[in-house]
Formats: sequence, C-alpha cells, structure tokens
Amino acid sequence: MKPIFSTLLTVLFLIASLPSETIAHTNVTSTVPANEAILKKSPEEIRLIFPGTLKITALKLLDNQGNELPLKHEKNLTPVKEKIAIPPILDAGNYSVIWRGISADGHPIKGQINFSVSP
Amino acid sequence: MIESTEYLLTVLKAVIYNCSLFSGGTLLFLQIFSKETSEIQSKLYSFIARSSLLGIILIILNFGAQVAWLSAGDLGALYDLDMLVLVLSSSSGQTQVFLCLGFAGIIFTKRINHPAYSLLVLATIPIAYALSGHTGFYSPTWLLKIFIILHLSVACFWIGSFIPLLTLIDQKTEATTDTLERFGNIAIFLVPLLLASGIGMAWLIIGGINGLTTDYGLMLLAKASLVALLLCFAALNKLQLVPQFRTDQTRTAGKLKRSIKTEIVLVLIILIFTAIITTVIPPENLGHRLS
Repeated sequence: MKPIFSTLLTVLFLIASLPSETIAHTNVTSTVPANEAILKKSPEEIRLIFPGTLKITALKLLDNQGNELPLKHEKNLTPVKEKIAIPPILDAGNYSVIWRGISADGHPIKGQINFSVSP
Repeated sequence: MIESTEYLLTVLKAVIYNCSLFSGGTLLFLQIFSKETSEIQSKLYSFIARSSLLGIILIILNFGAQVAWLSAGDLGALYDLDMLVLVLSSSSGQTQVFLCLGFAGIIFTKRINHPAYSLLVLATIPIAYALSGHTGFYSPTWLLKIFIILHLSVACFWIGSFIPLLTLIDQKTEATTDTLERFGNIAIFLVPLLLASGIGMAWLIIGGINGLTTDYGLMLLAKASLVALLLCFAALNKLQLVPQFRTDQTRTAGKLKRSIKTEIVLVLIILIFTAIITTVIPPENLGHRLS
C-alpha cells in the first residue's frame, strides 16, 4: 500500500502545481442598451463590451414570446472584446439579447440583457 | 430561464459523475481488497467495464449537448468543425477528453492487471475534474485543487464499496464480515477527510457565511444535509449492522443490503445536486465574490 499512497501524494502535488486556470468567469462590462433599459425608440445597434477577450458562439435577439429576430453581426469565432450587432427596427415591446461564448481561459459563459421599447 | 439543453447537460453530468465514481471506486476497492474480492473479481470487472462504457457514451452525448448549448440551441452547430474544435479545446472539453481516456483505460484494467496501471487510470478521474469547474475560479486555486482531488478520491473509495459489499454480503462467508469491518475501519479515517475537503472547498468558493444565502450556497446546504443523512446510514452499518452480521448473517444480510442500497440512492441524489451546482447555477450567482 505504501507505494500507492506515495504515488497518490506525488500526483496531488503535480496537480496542485498546475497553473491557475482563471479567477472568474468573464462578465460583461457594459452593454448598449443597458440591461433593463426602457428605450423611447428602437436601438440602432446592440453593443456588448467584455472585460476580456471572448469567442462569441451565439448571439440572439428574442422578443417577449421567445421568437428569434434577425440580428446582423459578424459570425465568426475570432476573440473579441466588443461585439456589435444591428437589430431590425423594433416595435414597442420587451426584448432580450442572449449570448454564449468561450472566455480566453477556455470556460463556457453565457449572458443576457433585457430591454423594452416604449410605445 | 433554464434552457432545456441545461437540463440535459445537468442530467448527463449527474450520470457521468455516477459512472466515474462507481467504476473508479469499484476498481479502487478491487485494488485495496484484492484478496477478499478474489472470488467476485470477474463480476466486478464486468460491472466496471459496463459502467465505464456508459460513461464514454454519455460523454459523447454531453459533448453534443455542449455544442448545442454554446450555439444557443442551434443544432446546425453540430456540423460546424470550428465549433467542435472550440468545444474540444475548452476547459470542459479537455476534462471530457481526459475522462474519456480514463474510462477507456479502466475498461482494460482486467486485461492489464497491474496495480500501477490501475492507479494511473484511477488518478485520471479526480484529475479530470480538477482540470475544470468552479475550483479554478477562486483562490488559492492550488488548495482548491488539492481539496477537490482529496474529496473525489475519498468519495470514490466510499461509493466504490457499494457494489462489491452488496455482492460479498450475498455470499455470506466469514471473509465478508472481515471485509466489512476492514472497510469500516479505513472509512473512519477517510470520511473526516471527505468532510474537511468538502467544507474547505465550499468555504473558499462561497467566501464565508454570506455565501450560504445565495442560490449556490443554498444548494450546497441541501447537498450537505443529504451527506449528513448518508453518514447516518454509514454509522448505522458500522456500529450496528456489521457487528450483528458477524453473529447472525442470515437475519442481518437483508437489513445491511437495504441500508447500502439506501446509501446508493442518497449518493445518486447528491450527485444530481452536484450536477445542478456545477451546471445550472453559474458562479455569477455568487455576485458578492466576483464583484
């Protein structure tokens, strides 16, 4: 049993000495429109600014019934700090923008903002 | 809103946890109690192989579910090579590859019957989980990694005893009682390690008492309550049922088996809770720690 425990200890120390993966998930720094914003007119663009680079794997605009609306943006997996998308002209109502991605440290992340366009 | 892919990921993860701990743990039990299990070895190796194979299949399904999640439900992403490579190269992708290799290695332990090989493939399980997950988000990361490896290694030992002990109890031999007692004597030293590493991990991740009121903290408390219940059954086995089994095997075997089966059910529930904590409740919910 002794060799087993000594090997286990060695493995433990090897793992413990691996470099740290990350300190936190990549959160969004700011968004346009801001989360829970009430807009007087349809937004011209949707802008997401992240504190670090991020590979955006999905970006969707949904209406209050969960229907996906067309959103023009560059669909590639290049790491970005900022993502800009152009929505169609939105009628009055509640909308959500959801995104998925992989942060620079390799962790899957998700985010969502909600906003309304007033009548 | 929890998406359906998140439910699927949670369920898959919970079953993969089970496969990891049951196949790895049973293999560990076979290594530690090689003499006592000599007569039931082939049965246990068969269980290990089936459990590991299920693990591999579920990892492949989980990979597909992750791609679907990352593309926010767009199944076309399953045919996008760039997306597949991206998921494979992510930390959870690497964990899955590592775990898959571990399962494949475990399947061959019957053929390559060498303690060093068994130890190597066994080590892949806690290491795979140490490579990703919440333990990488907080500091000191090195301590959290030690905690998760210790926690999973002891959990492996405990959970891995269920199937061999149930099989041995069916045999009702003198060696069964000795094995049960020997297992209990080892567990008495290891269970405090399991609890200490679990509490240490929880403390560092939630950042103190305040963290217990978050969604993550409440789920941890629920998990801890189930672990406490599990410990009650373990104590019942060690202090009452195993001594009774030595004197009256016929009458106690049924009670002991029922108690172990209850432990298995509790473990299944605990691992579902763990999968929820690690999948559905993201670290952002621990806002007080990250802001």
